[in-house]
Amino acid sequence: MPNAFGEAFGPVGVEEAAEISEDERRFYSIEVPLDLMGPETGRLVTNCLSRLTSADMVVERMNFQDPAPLSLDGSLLLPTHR
Amino acid sequence: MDSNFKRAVLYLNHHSAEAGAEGLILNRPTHKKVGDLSLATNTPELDHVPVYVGGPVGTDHLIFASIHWLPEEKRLEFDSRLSASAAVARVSEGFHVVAFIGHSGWSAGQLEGEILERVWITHRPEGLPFTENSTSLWKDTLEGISPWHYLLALTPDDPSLN
Repeated sequence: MPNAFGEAFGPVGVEEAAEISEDERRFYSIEVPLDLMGPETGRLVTNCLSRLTSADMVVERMNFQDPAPLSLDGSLLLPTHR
Repeated sequence: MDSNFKRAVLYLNHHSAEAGAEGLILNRPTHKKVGDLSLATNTPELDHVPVYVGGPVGTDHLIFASIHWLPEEKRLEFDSRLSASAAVARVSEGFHVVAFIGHSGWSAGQLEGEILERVWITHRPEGLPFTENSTSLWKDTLEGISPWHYLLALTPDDPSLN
């Protein structure tokens, strides 16, 4: 059964994921070493993620620091929903 | 999400629990200079200053800001309450001066609520937040935070079209 993220198989590495057809990628989770994260790897993983999810799910997996600090003076503010 | 903030990068120049927050969008260039605008004041020293849209609030006001990155302190000096004469003085001192039409505002507690709902990512600036291609600032800034933030930046607007 697929897990909460729709993954039924895996995890597989980035090179293996590239060999899997686009239709099947959504059933796999992909392990990406952080030091390999770059534009090409990012696109591959994004392609896979976006088959089954949206930016909302990426946001859910991000570590947020909350609650908000008392003052955010001098901070940059970026929307998560584009 | 208000379309004014689509892929925006804002600088929060004021935030407190009691008074709310005020910020300026850094990546909405109008591609105009102050000299292109019809202003009541005559300040030719500011004619070359680029004009950005700072937000949807108070769009009948022009805000001058001087922006300076302090590398040793790793801090952005951002003074957004300059009079026209003060802006002229900053220009003569070699500061990066920008004009904003309007600003962005939150009532007390509103921004805190939106952050808890994960509408916003907050991040301390790590350099002068202006680039030649200001439309890429949102993506470039996310890229520098973490791999997950980078993934968010790469996710297409409409995943079904991927």
